[in-house]
Parts: sequence; structure tokens; C-alpha cells
Amino acid sequence: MGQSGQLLLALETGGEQVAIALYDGSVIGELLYDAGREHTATVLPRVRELLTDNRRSIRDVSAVAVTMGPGSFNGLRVGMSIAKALSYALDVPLLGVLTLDALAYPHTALGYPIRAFVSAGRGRVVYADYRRQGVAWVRDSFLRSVRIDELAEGLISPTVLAGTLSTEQEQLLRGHPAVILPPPSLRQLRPAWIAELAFHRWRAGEADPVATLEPVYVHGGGAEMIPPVQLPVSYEARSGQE
Amino acid sequence: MIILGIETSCDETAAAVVQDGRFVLSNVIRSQVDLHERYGGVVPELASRRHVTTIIPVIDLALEQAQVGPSMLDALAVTEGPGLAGSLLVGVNVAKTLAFVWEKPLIPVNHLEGHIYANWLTLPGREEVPEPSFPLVCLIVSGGHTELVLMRGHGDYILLGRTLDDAAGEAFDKAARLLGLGFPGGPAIQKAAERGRPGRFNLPRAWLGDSYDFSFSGVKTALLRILEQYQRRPPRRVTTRQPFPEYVAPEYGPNVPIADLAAEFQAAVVEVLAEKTARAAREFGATMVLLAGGVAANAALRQRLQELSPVPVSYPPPILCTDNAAMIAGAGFYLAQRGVRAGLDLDVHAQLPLVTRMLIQTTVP
Ligand SMILES: [Zn+2]
Repeated sequence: MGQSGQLLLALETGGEQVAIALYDGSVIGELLYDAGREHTATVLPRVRELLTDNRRSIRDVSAVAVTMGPGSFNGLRVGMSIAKALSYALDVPLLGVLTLDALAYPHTALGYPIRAFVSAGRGRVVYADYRRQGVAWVRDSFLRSVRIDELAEGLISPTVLAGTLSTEQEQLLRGHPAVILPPPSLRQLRPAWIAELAFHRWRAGEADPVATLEPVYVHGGGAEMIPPVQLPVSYEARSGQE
Repeated sequence: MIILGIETSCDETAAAVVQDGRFVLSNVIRSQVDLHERYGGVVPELASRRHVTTIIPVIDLALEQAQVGPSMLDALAVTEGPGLAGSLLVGVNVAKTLAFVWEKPLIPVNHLEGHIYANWLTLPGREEVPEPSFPLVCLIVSGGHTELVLMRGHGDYILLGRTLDDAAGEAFDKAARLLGLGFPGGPAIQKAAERGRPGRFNLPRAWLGDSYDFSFSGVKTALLRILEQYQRRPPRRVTTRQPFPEYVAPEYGPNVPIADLAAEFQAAVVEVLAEKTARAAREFGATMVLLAGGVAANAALRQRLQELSPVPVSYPPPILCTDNAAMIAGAGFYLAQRGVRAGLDLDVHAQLPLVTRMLIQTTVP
């Protein structure tokens, strides 16, 4: 499936788990590791390692994707700085991906509404809601910052929760009648999900401005309005069309 | 040797191209003063955010103005610390990435060392600056730092003294806030002091015995005590819809002697800085005294130091006193001569000291 001149590098550095993917229409290589707070020291060496392991050079990269958050502000800035510099130095398109979109993406197959969330530290999470609209999936909610125990509040119909939880938090949410909790490995952000979302936009001719693209900063207790989006690929919808 | 320097340690986003550590080919600085003004000081989170959206255009402009393409660069130099961690990491990650793609050596530079090496730089179209001679004494004074350094050769530093509390520039910022003079404090106080008379009030000078250390918290507190007598409403922090509280200046009665207080405050800070620097120049047989950092642009400090110093005093033009990347590229050249290199694992060091080899001042010869 992959073609030369189609190599996309994707980065997510907004959490302790750093995700890096190489993608050209199918997954070439993925790396997911626990960086703790050592993002600046570790991300670029790992990018180089992933390229080398897959017999690619940085010069082969023809598009760069980066998550825009929500997440740790400093963590996000590491990925954003690297991605922007890659895009500038290689003169290739830059694509920002909302971290929540990538988390929601694989669950569109189930057909239930999705609430994707990331940890915002100090017992808080930031979430957005995704629902089916015809054959497509849309995010049209605010990004909201709530306490983790408020995450399922207001859910009436069965909804998939997509995001990483501690065992304790999982117990808390399992009792909720409207909550569907997929297995942990399906709720943890995978590098290729980011790459695939960005790849679709890139092949559609889209790109984000290298100078001014910036992370989404959601403060504790706050809410950010992010323009509504239609998830670029719902594989259920696509299989129905093609 | 042509080096691209990158500097994002505080609230200026800067990139510059410098040849052989001496000649500035371009020097681009995006100041964030407009952004931090209403907060009465630098808000670290906002500074970091601004770097993310200015760094690439600033680098692009620096290369364009120098008419230097990536292939003509011999190396990149970047500030690794000290500074604000969230700000530093933007420059460090961008610099590492560019060095990786362009396959150039990367040189990590201490921000303070950069300030010192601003004294080696000649701006485009200006008469060549004579190379400073060793041994020399350098006073680095800025919003983040107050360090008195003996330099016996390139990269050979002995820290003689430093501030025990506020940096000199920080003291100016805080005093300007109290006096309702705005941000940044140094230029604001210097301007107000021109209309005032030092000596009408008596603010304390912290001599700290024979030590070369400094302290500016006492003089700030003394200023606060005097101002309280005139105060109608104390300064406040207000949170509107912003997550960052804004600063509202205090209100004073009509007779508050702002100009005289500004003049006395400036005199108190300048007197100690100039006196200790001149004394160090005598004690260590310096051939010259260098000024560096944002506060080096203060006219009263320059004048007083020239009066007291036994040897010539030299300082960079104002554009090279404030944070800039030409000084980073300049220092980077001399570091490169000594084989200093960083890998892709270079990290930021918010608390990086200038003298990493020895910090013990009792070993001074
Ligand atoms: Zn500085």
C-alpha cells in the first residue's frame, strides 16, 4: 500500500507516554514508551532510532503530524517544537491532530457515542464528545475540564469512554449504567491512530500553518471551544462506501 | 565559521547568525514586552506559549537577513540554561531538530556566558569592536541574574559573587511596580530618576561586608515602607476571565515623590554594583571591566562604574545587552573551538550555573 514520497512521521508528547509513528498508508513502525518527564532529552533520539530501525532516514519524511493536546503544557510544547522544526527544515507539510480525536477514532466501529478524555493532572481530565451523524462521526462539543469522578456525569445512553484510567478510577466508572469501557489497551493512545488521522488530511491536501499552530491549552475547571470537526475516517462508514 | 544561534530562555524569542564569534550577520529579537506588561512581570506560561508561535519565523528571518542558507552554516548554538524551563525547551528542541535534519554540530551555551560574549560582537556596518583582554572582571546584571565573574581566558570563569535574593533587574521591576512606573522596570526607573534627586530619601546599601555577593531585597522593602505612607490603595492582582492574574498598580496621594524615590532607588542599586565591581577589578588585577545583561544598558550604572573603575569599562550596544541570540552564537564559537558539542539528548537546565568546573571562591589566586 505504501508509496515512496508518502512517509508521514507522527508525534505525541502531551503525556508521560510518548508516541511516535511512521506511516505511509499502512503502519511502518511505532514506538510507545514511558518518558516520565524526560521528553526533551528522549524524544528526538527515539525518532532517530525508529527511523534507523525501519531503514529510513529523516530526509525520507514527507509530512509531519503532531498532537495539539490537551495534555501537559510543557510536554505538548516539546512535540510542537520538534514537529515545527522538522516541517520547516524538511520543507514538508505540518498537521496538527487533536489528541482526543485520535483517542476516539478506533471506537467509531462500535456505533456508540464516544467520550474521549486525557488526564489533566491533579485528579482532573479534559474530555470531548463524539457522535454519529449519518455515515460520519463528529465532535461538536467543548473540551471540558472536570474532576475524574465527574467524567460520566450526564451520560444517559450507552457511551464508550476512551482514555487511560487507573484501576481505582476504572472501578469507579464501571458501576455507571451508561458507561462502556473497552479493554485498557484499546483505550490507550496508539501512535498509528494519530498518523492515520493526519495522513487522511494530508492526502486531502490539507496542512496547518507552521508558524502559528499551537497546542490547545485547557485550564483546570475551564472549557475551550474548538471548532467542530468531522473525524476524517470512520472505518465503518468507509467500508460501507467503498 | 558561521553559527546560527537560538535563544528562548525568558521572554525574548531570538535567532542570529554570527561569523567567527565576532561579526553579527543578523540579529532578530521578538520581544514579548507587550504580552507581559499588564501582568507587571514575565508570566512564564505565557512566555513559553509565545515562543512556540514565534520561533520558526524568527529563525527564518535571521537566516534571510544574513543571506545564509542552511548549507552555509557550520554549526548551531542554543541556550540550554539557565532560564524558564518551559521557554528553554522550545529553543532546545527546535535547535536539536534543525541540527539533526541539516546534519550540523550543535553547541550548548550557558545564557550567562552568552551575555559575557556579547562584548566580543561587532554589529553590521559598525566599526570593529576591539577584542577584550584577559584577565577581566565582568558584571552580569539582568532581570534574572546578578553575577560578578573573574575571567582569565576563554571559558575560564571564577564566580566572585552573586545575588543572594533578587537579581538587580528583578529589583528594578519590583520597585517600578511599587512606584506604578510600568514594565520593564529598569528603563522606567531610569526615566523617572532623571526628574528626581537621589539623597532626599535614604535607602540602605547592602554591602555584606567584604563579600562580592549582592542583596537587593532590603532596599526594595525600605522603598515599600516609605511608599506605604502615601498609599491610598495597595497594589492588587485581579483575575478577570484570564487564568493569569493581572497587576493593578497602587494608588498614591498627590504628594508622593515618585521621581526622587526612583532616583534614590537607582542610586542605591547602582552604588553597590559599581563599587564591588571596581573593587574586584583592583583586587584581581583586571585589565578591563565588562558589563553584560539588560541592566548594563542603565546609564547611571555605566557612568558610576566608569568613575570608580581603575581600568577601562566596556559594554555592548543596547541591542546586545538585552537577551539576544547573537551572544549565544558568539559564545558558541569559542565553545566550539574547545570541542564542546551536544547530542540529540541535550536537555534544558533551568538552574545551570555559569561555573560548572569550580564554584569555590576561596581558591581565587
Ligand atoms: Zn539574559
